[in-house]
Amino acid sequence: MRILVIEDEKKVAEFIGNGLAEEGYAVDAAHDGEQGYFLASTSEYDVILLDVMLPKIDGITLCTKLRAEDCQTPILMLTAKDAVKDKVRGLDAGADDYVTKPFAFEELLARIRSLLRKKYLHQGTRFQVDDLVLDTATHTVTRAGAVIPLSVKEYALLEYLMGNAGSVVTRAMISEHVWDINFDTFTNVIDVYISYLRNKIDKGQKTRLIHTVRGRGYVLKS
Amino acid sequence: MIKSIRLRFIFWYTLILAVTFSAFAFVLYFHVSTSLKNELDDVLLTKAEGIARSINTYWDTEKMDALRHGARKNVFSKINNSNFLKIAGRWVEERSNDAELMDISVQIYKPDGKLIASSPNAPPELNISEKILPVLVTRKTFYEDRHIPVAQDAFLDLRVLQIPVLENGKAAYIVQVAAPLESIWTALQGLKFILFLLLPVTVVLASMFAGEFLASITLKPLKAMIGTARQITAENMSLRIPPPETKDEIRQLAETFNDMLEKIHRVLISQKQFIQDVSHELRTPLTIMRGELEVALKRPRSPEEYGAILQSNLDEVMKIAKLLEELLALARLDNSTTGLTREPTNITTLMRDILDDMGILARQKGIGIEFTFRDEITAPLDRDKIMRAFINLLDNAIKYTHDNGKIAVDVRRDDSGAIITVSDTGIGIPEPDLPRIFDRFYQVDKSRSSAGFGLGLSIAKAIIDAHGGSIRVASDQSQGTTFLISLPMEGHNPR
Ligand SMILES: Nc1ncnc2c1ncn2[C@@H]1O[C@H](COP(=O)(O)OP(=O)(O)OP(=O)(O)O)[C@@H](O)[C@H]1O
Ligand SMILES: [Mg+2]
Repeated sequence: MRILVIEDEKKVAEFIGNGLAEEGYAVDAAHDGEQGYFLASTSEYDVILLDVMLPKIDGITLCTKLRAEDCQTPILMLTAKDAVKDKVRGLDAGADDYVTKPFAFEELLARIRSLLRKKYLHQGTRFQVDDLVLDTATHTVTRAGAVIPLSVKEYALLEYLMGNAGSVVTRAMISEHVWDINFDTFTNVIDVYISYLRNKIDKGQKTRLIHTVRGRGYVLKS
Repeated sequence: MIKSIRLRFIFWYTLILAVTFSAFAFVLYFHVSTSLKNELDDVLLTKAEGIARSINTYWDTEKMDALRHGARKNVFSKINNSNFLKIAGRWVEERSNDAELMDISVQIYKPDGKLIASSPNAPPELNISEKILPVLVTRKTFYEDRHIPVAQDAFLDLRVLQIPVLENGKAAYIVQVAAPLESIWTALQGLKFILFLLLPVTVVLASMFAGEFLASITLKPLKAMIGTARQITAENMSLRIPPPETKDEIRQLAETFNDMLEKIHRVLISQKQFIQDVSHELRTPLTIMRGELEVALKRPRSPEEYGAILQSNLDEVMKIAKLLEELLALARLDNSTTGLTREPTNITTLMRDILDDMGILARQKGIGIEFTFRDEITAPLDRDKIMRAFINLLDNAIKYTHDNGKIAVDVRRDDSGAIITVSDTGIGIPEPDLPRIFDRFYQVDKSRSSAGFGLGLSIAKAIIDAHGGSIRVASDQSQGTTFLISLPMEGHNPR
């Protein structure tokens, strides 16, 4: 897995590079927009981490440019928290996800994993984990053949968990991707929804599928 | 005191109108009553004179007849002549019913006050008062107001005129005419009612309505302004009061208010920008610290690795501390209450001290500093703050000048005070950035000055401004940059 980090603040680029390398990723770093563009368009990467504020070519412009040139690599934006506009503009420019500075390193890792998964998972309409099946075409969920009725939010949450099956998703990822909301206090609501899902999916079953990863988030796996 | 401007307006409006109208009413009443009396007096005089003339003519004709019948000459005097008395009596009987005389009563007296004849409409109680008889001889007319009892508790008010009719300089008889004052009184009564009751009530009512109306049209634009002002909050500070079409105090008020809003708005915007800038500057070191620490904690590491991480974190902490310190310095300079502590300072010596220290930094880059001065200048300065301003300027000059460049510092005096120039042969500042380099957090190129925050020049400018001085910049990207500072010799704080 190769990751390109485009970040002008050298020390930031450095710790991201070191941390990712320790996770087994191959990392290239670029310190301005031009260098980043050069690397992104000449080599093949699995994920690009892109800072918004960059010298020479800024992150948004670079993102638009890469997408215009048919680069399909998932792009994760690194933004400044107060600039809500940055996020919207980043997503509009074709970025797949974003994290706000200062971010938790685990958060960054989880999002990178999610992007990689998205890239390699074939976009089928059926997700299956153990005997739990979710059909995105009919919006039905069954476990061992028995249909499980879910509310709209519960369904969306389960779809997100199954899409990331096997890897940890953080509460922040859930609130942003399922609810489109980004507050710390909102994570309590997510815990409540998770317990609803558990009641419907895991209650009375031999194997439990929804696991809590302490201090990090949740993971769906058999 | 009346609190409401509206009530006050109505009160004063009513009061002024009431005073004006009552003054007018009094004058009018006085004028009407005197002119009515004068008119009556004129009528009475005309009548009395007419009667005298008529009686005399009557007497003259009678006299001619008597002469023809051979009467004695001395009999023709009217005085003490029984014939005349008879004739006057007859005249009164025949003529006093004339429509011409109307309700004017006529009485004829002898000069001694004895009644000769009396018209039927004359009140029997009316006589001629003894005391006026001597006066009448010398005076041609005598008016008086008489209050005559006609019955039990009933009185008649009369305007009475007596005129003596003379014969050879002696009073022959007295004509007394009298008219009831009643008609004048009823006329005046009506007028009184109108002037002193109807008019005040009307004026007060009308002026209350008019006052209310005037108050409301005057206050209407104010009301509109209040409505708009209420809608203005921190979120929609761009709202403005539409100034009224008029050119008056209300418009001035609206304009003043709008000006004030504009100022507050600008302060709010710059405040917001400032907070954004500060949090932005804090974000980078925090991201680094958090990221490095989290990565470090993922697994056990060697002491060398921990050492490197701690050192790097310390650097970031120092950066944040520096930012805080600089922000504090700016805040203190903004706060006018903590003024400068000025003392007579020799600028030349001060500059030499600074250059001794900064020279070490310059030498590391092979940059030479040339110091020239024409005068020893002493000015009242806050030594520490001024030092900081010059250090910031020199720090920039060194930072933004290539290795082996040159820096020149010059101190001299001119009419306005001390002039200090700091020029370098560095990379220069692009023309479009020049107006903004004194702004807080402004940096021409983030990447070429990543160590700083862009506060150095704003601090320097704030210090120089506080001293009542000024700082200007000229730059050429091929030649370098020159900062020109002037400091006044007399120390008076500008604020
Ligand atoms: N002598 C100079 N030559 C060229 N550019 C300069 C010079 N002085 C200032 N500048 C430009 O003006 C900007 C603002 O200067 P300022 O001193 O306020 O901030 P800084 O030097 O970037 O950071 P700080 O002084 O806070 O450490 C600088 O970023 C630089 O681009
Ligand atoms: Mg500086």
